Amino acid sequence: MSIYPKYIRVFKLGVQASMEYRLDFAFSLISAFFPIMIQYYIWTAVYGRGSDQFFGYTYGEMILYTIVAAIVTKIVTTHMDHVIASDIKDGALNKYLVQPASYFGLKLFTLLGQKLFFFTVMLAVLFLVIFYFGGRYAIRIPLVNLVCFVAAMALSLILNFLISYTISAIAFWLSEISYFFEMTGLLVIILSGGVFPIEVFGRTVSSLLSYLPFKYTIYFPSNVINGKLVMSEITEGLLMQIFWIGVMFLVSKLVWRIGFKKYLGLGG
Amino acid sequence: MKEAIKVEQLAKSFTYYTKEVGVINSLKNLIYRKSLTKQAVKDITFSIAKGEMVAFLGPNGAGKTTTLKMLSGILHPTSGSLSVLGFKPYERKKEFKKRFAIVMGQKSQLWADLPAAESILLNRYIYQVEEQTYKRTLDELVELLDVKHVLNVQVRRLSLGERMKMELIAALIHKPELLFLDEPTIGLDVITQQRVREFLTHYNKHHKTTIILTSHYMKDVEDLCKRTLIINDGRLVFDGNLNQVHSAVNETKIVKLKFSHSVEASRLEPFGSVRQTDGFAATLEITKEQIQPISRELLDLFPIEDITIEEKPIEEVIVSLYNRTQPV
Repeated sequence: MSIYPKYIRVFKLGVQASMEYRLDFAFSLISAFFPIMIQYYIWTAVYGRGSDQFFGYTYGEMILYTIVAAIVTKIVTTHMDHVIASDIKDGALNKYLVQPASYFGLKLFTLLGQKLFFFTVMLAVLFLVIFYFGGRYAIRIPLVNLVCFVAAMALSLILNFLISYTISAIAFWLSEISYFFEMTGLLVIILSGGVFPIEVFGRTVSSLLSYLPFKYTIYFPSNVINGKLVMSEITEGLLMQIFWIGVMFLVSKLVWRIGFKKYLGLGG
Repeated sequence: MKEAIKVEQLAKSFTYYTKEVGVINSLKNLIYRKSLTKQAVKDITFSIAKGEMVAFLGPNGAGKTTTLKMLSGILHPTSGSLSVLGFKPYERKKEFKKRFAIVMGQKSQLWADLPAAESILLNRYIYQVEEQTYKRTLDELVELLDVKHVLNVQVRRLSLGERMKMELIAALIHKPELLFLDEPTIGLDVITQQRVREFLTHYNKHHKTTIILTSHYMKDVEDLCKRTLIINDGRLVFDGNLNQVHSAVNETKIVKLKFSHSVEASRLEPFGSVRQTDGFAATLEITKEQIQPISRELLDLFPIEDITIEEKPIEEVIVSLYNRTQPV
């Protein structure tokens, strides 16, 4: 037997477990609606006062970005940092340590499995939004963007997992950290462009963010779907995603190796 | 190789911090924390043969679980050497992991949202068990533990006893040669405890699996294990059959008396320590050497209807062992 069936198995388990939380999922969809409402009124007020473009976005584009980014955020946010950190803190990590399987692999494939169902539902919701707004504000989205978007979302989910996985290693050193993750979670979402497009932060900050992986998790896929990017930019973005996945993979390995040493009582 | 486990001079120490009561001290701790070292396990040496069933006994914080964690590779020892199934556990090699299992009574390894059958099947893939073998093993275990009817029920809806049985099945599905059980019967009712014990005895006999368990329940240890390692304050204070504990540490016996007329407690006191008396019955604790002369004297002096001489209950013996820090 090859070594992969176990990961396929946890993937399937993830799908099944997520089905147990259908109602929870429905609530999370509804909860995404409120921030969108707030932003809708803010932007309507802002755009009502003159200029028809802010930060390079027209009113329609801005509203579309807000909605798309909120949905993308829902899809790519993993909440894995909480799960992993509590595994570390309460010793649940032990049971994985004694099994001939990698914790990283098991968690990643569980997550992908858990997300599959949501991913599909959310994509359907998203496409409805796009078609509605596309007609209303005359924003045309070519089919190739839709395909690239799905690819960008998948990569973004993996990248986000790696970011969470790296951040959660802090639990090896700090034990009371639920607010820490509250903070980093929000910060990561803001830096990723989950609330505003990152142009809003001004030229300096947004060029700074180009050197970090965050914007490739929400900002980039959102702009792929709302038609802001041309094909060459999309290709570049996808490559950057792959690049950052590689980098974060190595960083997470390193951080976890050090963390494990402490966990196992090797000193440090 | 006949030894499953060989441990020499094994030690483990942790660093930790303390904080005095009060806000000021909390603030002090922000800047400077005095780190202290706790020696959880101190130079333990023992070996366990293949197929043996051994219990670790000891009060909370004695170092039982720490030892178990080192044996299973979860913790790295501070010093000393250990070899489990010919491997060094802390290297956590895949071949080693495939050959043992650990069940922690307090921590579930099952997926709470899904039926246990799913977690068990997952373990089949993790441990790469052939389908035929898997089916046979599962059938056997389910039969033995009598849990067929709850195999497909969501784990969070199971009773504690059912859950524990599922944990055992999940742990044994790859037929490990070595099984660690950390308080397997904790919180279970008496009948379920009995069932789990019977199962473990049966399993140990039929599959020659080496089983090492920790427990607080004396019954577990008495019923299951011929050999007991008692750990206190990180040291091994007793290694052997529990029945020998009596001769090893126990200098007194219990004498129970029944009288035909009421006897005052004060009259009994010269003969030994009086544990209990209500006029018509009394319980005395008398040192072993004096049993004969004293019981003779008692028979002469008092209107005795019945006299029995017993060993001290094992729990009490263990408590006296817990107070030791030097080996017997």
